Amino acid sequence: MQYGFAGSVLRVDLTRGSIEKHPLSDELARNWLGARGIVARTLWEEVPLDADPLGPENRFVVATGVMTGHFVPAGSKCGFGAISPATNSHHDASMGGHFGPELKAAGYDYIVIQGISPKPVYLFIEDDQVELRPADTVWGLGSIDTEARLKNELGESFQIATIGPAGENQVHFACISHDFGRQAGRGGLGAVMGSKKLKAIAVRGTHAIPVKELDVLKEGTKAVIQRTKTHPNMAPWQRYGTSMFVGWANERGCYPTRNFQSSYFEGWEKVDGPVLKEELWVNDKACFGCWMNCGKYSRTTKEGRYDAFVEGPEYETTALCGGSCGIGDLRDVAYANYLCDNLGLDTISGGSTVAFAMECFQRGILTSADLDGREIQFGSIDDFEYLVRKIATREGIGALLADGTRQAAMKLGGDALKYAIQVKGLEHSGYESRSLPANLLGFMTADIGAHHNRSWAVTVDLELGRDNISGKAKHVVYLQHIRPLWDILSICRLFYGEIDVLLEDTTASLRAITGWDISEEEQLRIAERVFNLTRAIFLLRNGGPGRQHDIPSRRHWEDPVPTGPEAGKHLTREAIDLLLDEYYQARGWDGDGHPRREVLEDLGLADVADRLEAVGLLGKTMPWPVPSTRGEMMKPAAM
Amino acid sequence: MRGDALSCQETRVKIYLKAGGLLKDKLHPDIDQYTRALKVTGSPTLAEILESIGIQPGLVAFAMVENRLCRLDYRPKDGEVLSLHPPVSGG
Amino acid sequence: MRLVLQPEKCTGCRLCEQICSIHHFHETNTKKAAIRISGMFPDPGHYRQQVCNQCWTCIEVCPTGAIVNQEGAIQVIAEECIACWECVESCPEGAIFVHEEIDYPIICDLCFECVEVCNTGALTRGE
Repeated sequence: MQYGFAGSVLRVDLTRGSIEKHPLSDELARNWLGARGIVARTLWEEVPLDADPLGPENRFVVATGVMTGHFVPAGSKCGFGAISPATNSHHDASMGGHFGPELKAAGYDYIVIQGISPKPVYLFIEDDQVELRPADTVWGLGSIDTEARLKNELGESFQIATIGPAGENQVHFACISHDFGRQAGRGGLGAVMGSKKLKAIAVRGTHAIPVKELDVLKEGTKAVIQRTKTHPNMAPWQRYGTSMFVGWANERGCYPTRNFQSSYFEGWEKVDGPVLKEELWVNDKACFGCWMNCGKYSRTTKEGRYDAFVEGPEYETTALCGGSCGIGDLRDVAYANYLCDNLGLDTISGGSTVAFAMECFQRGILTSADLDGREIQFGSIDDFEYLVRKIATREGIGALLADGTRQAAMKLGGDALKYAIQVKGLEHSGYESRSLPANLLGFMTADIGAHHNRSWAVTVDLELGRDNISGKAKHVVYLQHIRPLWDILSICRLFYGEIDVLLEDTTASLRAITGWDISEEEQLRIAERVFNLTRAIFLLRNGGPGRQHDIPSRRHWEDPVPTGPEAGKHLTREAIDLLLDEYYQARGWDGDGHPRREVLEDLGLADVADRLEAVGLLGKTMPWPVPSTRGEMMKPAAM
Repeated sequence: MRGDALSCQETRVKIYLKAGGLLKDKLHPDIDQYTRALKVTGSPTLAEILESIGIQPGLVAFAMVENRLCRLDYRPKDGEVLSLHPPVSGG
Repeated sequence: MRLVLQPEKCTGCRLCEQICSIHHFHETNTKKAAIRISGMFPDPGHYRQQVCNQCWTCIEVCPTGAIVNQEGAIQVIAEECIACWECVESCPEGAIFVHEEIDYPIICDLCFECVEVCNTGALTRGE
């Protein structure tokens, strides 16, 4: 028995309808810790490089982490992963709520699902009873409706992860939904479930997870709770959640507006946190074990038009479904949020794809002939609804847009690719970055495409000067290790970022749970190990040179920001290359963005180096040495 | 500032700033682990107050005063406690 | 002494369930908690708290006297319990819980550990 883990693994082959139970590998647990780490290692070992992301050989992995389900700050997280149809590479998404803890209580650390079921099914798990059940009654239903139906049938204490129609129709940005508002949102993992005819997973568990020193863990976490109750950041998080940053992002000129044409959304006050709290808010909603409750549950109504309950809108949703679609009424944004949630679409890529279509229409790349005679416009919730419903069903223009902005733009040709605000096929998170070079570098180099989950470096730019390019890359590398580390451990990173729950606190918890003495440095090395492995998977599946995949839309150097506090700002093509040069050097990669053998071997990835070398994708020897530690925490500027 | 400028110039008010995380290191709390007391003259905005103590206003997203969110153009009143909030660590 | 419930302040974090099982059974297992939080979603979007309110119905129905009033709180005398679950059936609050590994009913004993970890005031200590 390994302390901290449930101890078993489920393997499901949907083609054969078989379910097997295996013991957890100690080596895997110790070296990869969980969630994102287990996803990456599984995809590396099991998915052939030429496997279709939506075919039977892809693996759909549901992996908890070492701290999931324990008495720690928000040990709520569950990782979902597969080869993504959006990026054709490793993708993992981390989801809060209660699903991960329940899976572990049922006795399973992770599930690997392969094959394609002949008929729609859902996976039923109640402790030792694991079976594939027909999903006829829920296939075709929205995510919210499916969860309500299954909870009604099975019992409220079952935790449900489900896809909506968008996942069934294999939309490349279909999400997985849980707890009426938590999502494994990005990378089209819902499409992978849909391709396997797997509608949902329902789980209930009644077991305890073994802990080495429960009294130490109990007292440690109780002390952290008491300490953070009075933290100055606690009250605003509890009151507003992420929505409170809309105003700041606009005042600092980094709020995506009309498909990232601008970084300032005039009238942002109407989609800001206080409006959510005062006009839409119904209740606060927390994930398992979280005392910060940033989730805001809302009801949005417009007479004769809509009346819907939805969790959110979160900051990212206001940015992509609000500002980026030009929608300036928070009730409409919340309704857009509801539409995406129930259809099973990621609100970030979903909002961004709608915004892309709106800009294509603005520029004459799409015409009303493509749109059932409609003239779509920024700001219209009716056009938003028209487009997302088409996308979720792949009808009409939806067939083009359902593959995401990159593939749609390549089919449209001309300048369309410039208006696809994405990297590696994944649309940007909600920060317009023409005057945030470090943040943009984080989007450019994230292993899964342009997602803030890996690095969010706006404060690096603010601290070191938004016009400065040089000297920032090493901090981006650090962020790409520390932030995904929370996902690997499977506790919410907001405790670290927002209320001073430090790595030393969680390291003490990790020791109490497992009995392992894993230093902070070693944890960061595990995060680096995963990052290099996922980079290798990307290179092997998509070819070199890596640098060509790390370039953002040319809007970043061609078009100055037209309005707002950062008006006139833009980057240069040379700045993009300088950012990458410094970044690759800080990572110990070569000038093409390929990991060098010294780094891979240092991280215990000699097998990865061999496979890269065999196809000419291993990093070349460079004039500079590989840094002994990669990445550097940004210290606060001296006063 | 609304009202007569003369009396404002003479006014000295005491306010309390609170911060955690990286902002705390810049704030140099002196009352408790999070709080610093400040005397300000006139009726400056929060942004002006931050600059006067060497904190770049860009690193403060907003402040909370008595459970209400206020922006950097807010002019604190005597005795008010303002919790400074850093930008989110990303959505 | 009693536990004051304010479900409108409950966020469904279930820290109360966790600490309850740790305190009473020395394991993190929400299915052994004497308090349960359940969500009512999508509509109306609130949480329900289920926990003993000391109505003493279970004491009256228990055929063996295994449930007693111990200074205002329920105490279950495990050795006396015959696991007939009459108490579970009769509890008006649905606040008596069973677990496969435990051969007696799980009922709140007013230890107030949950109050210490609740950060919203949904659970407080009252007279």
